[in-house]
Amino acid sequence: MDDRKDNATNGDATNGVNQNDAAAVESHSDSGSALRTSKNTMMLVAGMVVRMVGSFLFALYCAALLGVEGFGKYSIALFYFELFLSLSATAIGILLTRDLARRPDRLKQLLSSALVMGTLLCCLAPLAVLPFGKLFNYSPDTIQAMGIACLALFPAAWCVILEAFFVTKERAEFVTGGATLEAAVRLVLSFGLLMAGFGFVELIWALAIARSVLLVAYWKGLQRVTPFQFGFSFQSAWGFFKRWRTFAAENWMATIYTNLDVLVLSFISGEVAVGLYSAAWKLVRLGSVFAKSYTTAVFPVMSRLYSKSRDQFHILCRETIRAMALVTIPAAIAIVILADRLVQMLFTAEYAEAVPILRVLIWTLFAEFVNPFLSHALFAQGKQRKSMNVAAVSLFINVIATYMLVSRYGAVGAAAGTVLSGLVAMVCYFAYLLPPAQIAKMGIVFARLALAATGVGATAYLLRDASWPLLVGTSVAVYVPLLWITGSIHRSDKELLKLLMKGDGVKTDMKNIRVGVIGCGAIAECYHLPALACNKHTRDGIVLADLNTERAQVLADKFNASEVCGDFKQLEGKVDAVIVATPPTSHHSISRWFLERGIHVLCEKPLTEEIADARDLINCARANNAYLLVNQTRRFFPAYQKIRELIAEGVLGDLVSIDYQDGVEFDWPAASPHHFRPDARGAWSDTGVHLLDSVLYWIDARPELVSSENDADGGPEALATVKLKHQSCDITIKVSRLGRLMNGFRIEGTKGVIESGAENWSSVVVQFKNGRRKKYNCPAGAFQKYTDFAHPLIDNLVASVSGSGVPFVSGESTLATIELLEAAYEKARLYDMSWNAIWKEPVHGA
Amino acid sequence: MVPEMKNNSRRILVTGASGFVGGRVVEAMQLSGFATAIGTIRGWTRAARPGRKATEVVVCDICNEDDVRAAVKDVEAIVHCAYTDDRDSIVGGTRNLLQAAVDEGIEQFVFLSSAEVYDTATAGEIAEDSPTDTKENCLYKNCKIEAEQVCCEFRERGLPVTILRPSLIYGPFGKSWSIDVAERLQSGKWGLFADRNGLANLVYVDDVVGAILACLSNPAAAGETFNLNGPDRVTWNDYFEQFNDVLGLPPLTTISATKSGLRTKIMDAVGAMAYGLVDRFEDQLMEIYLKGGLASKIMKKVKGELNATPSATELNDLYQRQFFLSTDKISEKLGFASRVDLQTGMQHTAKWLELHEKLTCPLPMHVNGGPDSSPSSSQELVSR
Repeated sequence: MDDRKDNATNGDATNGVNQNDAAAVESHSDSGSALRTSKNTMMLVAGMVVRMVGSFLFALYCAALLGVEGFGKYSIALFYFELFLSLSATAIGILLTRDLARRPDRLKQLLSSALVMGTLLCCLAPLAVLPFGKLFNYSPDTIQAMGIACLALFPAAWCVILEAFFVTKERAEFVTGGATLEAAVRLVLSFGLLMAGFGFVELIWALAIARSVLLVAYWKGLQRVTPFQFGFSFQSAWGFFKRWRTFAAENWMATIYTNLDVLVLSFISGEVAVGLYSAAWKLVRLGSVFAKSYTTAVFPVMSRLYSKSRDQFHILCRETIRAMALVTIPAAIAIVILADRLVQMLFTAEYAEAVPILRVLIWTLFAEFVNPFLSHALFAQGKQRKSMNVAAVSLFINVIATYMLVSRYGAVGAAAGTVLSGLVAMVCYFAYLLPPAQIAKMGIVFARLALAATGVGATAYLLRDASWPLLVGTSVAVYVPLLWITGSIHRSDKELLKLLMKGDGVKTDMKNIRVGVIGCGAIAECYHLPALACNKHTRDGIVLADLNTERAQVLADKFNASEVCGDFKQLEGKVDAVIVATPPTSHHSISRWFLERGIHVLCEKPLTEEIADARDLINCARANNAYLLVNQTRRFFPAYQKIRELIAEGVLGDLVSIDYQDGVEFDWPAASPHHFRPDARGAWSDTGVHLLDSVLYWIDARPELVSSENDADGGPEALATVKLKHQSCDITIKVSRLGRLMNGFRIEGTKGVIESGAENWSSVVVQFKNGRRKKYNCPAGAFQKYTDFAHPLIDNLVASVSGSGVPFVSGESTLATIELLEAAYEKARLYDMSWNAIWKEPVHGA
Repeated sequence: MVPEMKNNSRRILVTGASGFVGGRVVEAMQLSGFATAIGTIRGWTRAARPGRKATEVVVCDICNEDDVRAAVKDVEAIVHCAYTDDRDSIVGGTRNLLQAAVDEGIEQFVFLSSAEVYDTATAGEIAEDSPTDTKENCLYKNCKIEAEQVCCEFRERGLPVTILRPSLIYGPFGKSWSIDVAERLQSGKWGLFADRNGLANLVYVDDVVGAILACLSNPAAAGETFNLNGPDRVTWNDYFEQFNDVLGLPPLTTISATKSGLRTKIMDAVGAMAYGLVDRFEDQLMEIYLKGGLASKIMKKVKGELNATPSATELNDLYQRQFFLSTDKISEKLGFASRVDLQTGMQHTAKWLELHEKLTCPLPMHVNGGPDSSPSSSQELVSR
């Protein structure tokens, strides 16, 4: 029952969000085949490219038709549209992607909350437009266009939210298709309008219509992928809002940073300057599409690599930066030289003033390429906060520099401010990401590259009037040998390619979940390890940790584990999830250590011995976006699930009593004496937790404790009886380590009785009070023995970690069990064992 | 003679601390503060019972000399109760313990043997000087005799070894004469056996423990062999009838000698076949047994029938024994006498069985809440 709360109050995402976000975007399925993942990425890139190229071509066309002033006004309206869209919907989209990937079962609440929040934020946009218009002294038609853009915001924001849904569902083809459709509608409409002699205001109308068409298409797509019904709950929306804040803060900062120049420019230098500046920007942005696509594609790979192999991670970072420099530095030099020719070719002569702007702005190309990559590299390391620091610093510099430079140099100043702050951000990223020695090495690499690029520059300068094919061909022909000569490229460059291409290391990563097992006792040997070793997603990444490394090595040999550690802390960076199979007293400290690092935890039962510790773990898991699972095996019994269903459906009538007993002569092949330390807990904690949890699972409620008795007299109890009451149902649970008890349960309701052996998991028989008898067969073909239930448990762990499922037994769902477990100990008294009375007086010397 | 009082700082090693008698010895020592008991267990899976009282336990395989030597360090006396069923451990294990006791200069060694060592065909009183006899196919009996001989060997080397020969022990945690009998009585197929008038020599577990503690606190016990028996002279049929009564079950009927003889013969044959099969196909049969269905039902039925029928040994030997084990010697030498009569012992046992869910019906009121006629104190139990 508590599962439902799990996400509703999913606390603020702190810097632990890290790689999981990446994983969520990239790996929504456990079968998450590499093919589907890469298809998804490719589709996204294709969608982005379609939009960018479409709008670039269109921009070229209308820049020519509208003239500098008209294009400036159009750009301003469009700019506000993009700005508000980013402010209102982008963060929601990211959050929705993450949450949906984790909790597909909560689609209705999450999507509804996202749509409501998006709508509310869109309503705020018109309120901001008027003051901006007045403040910046825009012309009335610009303000009118801005108003229309505000209207277009609604369908556009909903589209962004639905796109997040498609991405999560691995149906990115809808996004690509939608983007193409929208681009087509908008282009056709706009061309038509322009040709019919309408101005830029009507173009914004075309935008609104195109987005509305897109919304209709997306809505149809949504209904096709999954039948969705709107269902709003305030509590769920409030939870969503609370999680959204962090994402929004970061996103807003980034949005303001990228748009500040246009804002300031339009304020100080007017709409004409914006037109020129935008023309230059379009060129720079066109190049950075590819860098962004690369970063999107490589992000999941980086996230995995970081925890798998730091060396490879650093190689990937270093080589990517080098490759980006390899492309952007000569491109920047060439564009500086050929700026006038480029602008002339792409725009009209009217835009000649954009040439100096482009010559300055193009120097931000490298930063445009490399900064998103570097910030993602920080995310991959879980250093999200550092990335935010950089964003804050560069925003500050951008504000100061842009304001000072624009007032003096106009659009060129805006370009210089952007370049400056981009470079500062890049330096900060380098400082965070690379060790000083590496930075020095990078300096040498850049110097060599610059040398080769100078050659390209010289070639471009000499051939500046030649035809484009000759110019580009010769430049490339000169550049490659120069790179070779200066030592900028060498044979080992294959490494980067290998890293990206290698099937098992990169593409199939999410299929390969690395699980650490902490505690190599009997439960690990008999239960978890056999299941891990035969699960195709986990068998190649088993790491064992035990204080007794000899014992761990024995199990490592038996189950083909890749590594053995004496200290569980050595598992950091080597695992995606851990199974905590140590004695219960250490569950809290060990689980916490991993959860704090965003590593998913499957903890043996009981989760903790004290309720406060259990709550702490649940909060810690939430705060770090990690899953906390508990091994309450019996909930996986098909018959137990059926019983829960029958009780919920009222088949048994009102419950009258539940009697559940389980006892066996303690025969657990315990490898250590911890079970019997004086402070250890006994049968109640060990076996009782299974029975208690089953009963709570069945009745889906928290009963009251009535009494608790056991035979503990200074040590762990071997026999315990606990009585509970829920409404009119009397519950008795009895467990023993000393021998067999009834070893089964009897559930009596006003209409019927279920009586069964504790480990009959394949059928439920209800004896109705009217004499009828009904047998419910539960599909349990795969489960021949108790330990077979480790398989669905590990499957569930894999599904949770890879984002395609949620924990079947979450930590939170065992809270009531832990609470009653603890309460029973607190209230426990010794059985009346009258046969012991005769020994209770001291024996004086006989 | 009143032996000197020993305080509870005395450290005593008790082998078989997870067992029926050893477990109770450890509990009694702790409950009464008699001594600090260090229990040995075969493995940690055996620690549930001593663990409840946080008894100090050591894992010790008595067949392993190193284990034994380590366990015997820093103790003053040894009570050897470990029950095993193979010669190596009964004889060899006892020898290892005795040797370690000599090496460590242990001041007292109590060996729990059995009244089975005697010639059980004897009629009348059996005293400690009655002859013992080995018998073919009686591994337990023969090994106990051999182990006693080893004890005597060490007595000659100066180790103060006391040998106790209790009759059949019943009480909480006891299987053969407590849990199994209760199960048989509850099966509804048990009865009184006509023409079987043998005496049931039964002793309540706390009487055995009391005797052990008495030996430990009395130097006069050194080098002696004592019988132990309960105070009641009853036949097996008396025992079944009284226990049945205590459990509140419907009265038992008498089964004719022919009928019981025939049933035993048939079930012995079925049993021999069933155990043969189980020996060979244990895993497969267990699977079928656990799976449910007709085969499982038949197996359960057979198992129930086997349990509810006396074996040939029981019917033709045990229930016909005509001797009574005399406890005069321990009474004279140590002033110890068995104090827990059969009725009280059975009542304690029944309450224990009920708590451990071995009973299908609730106990009658007079047993559950009835007056306690047990000895009023542990002091009494040890010294009277």
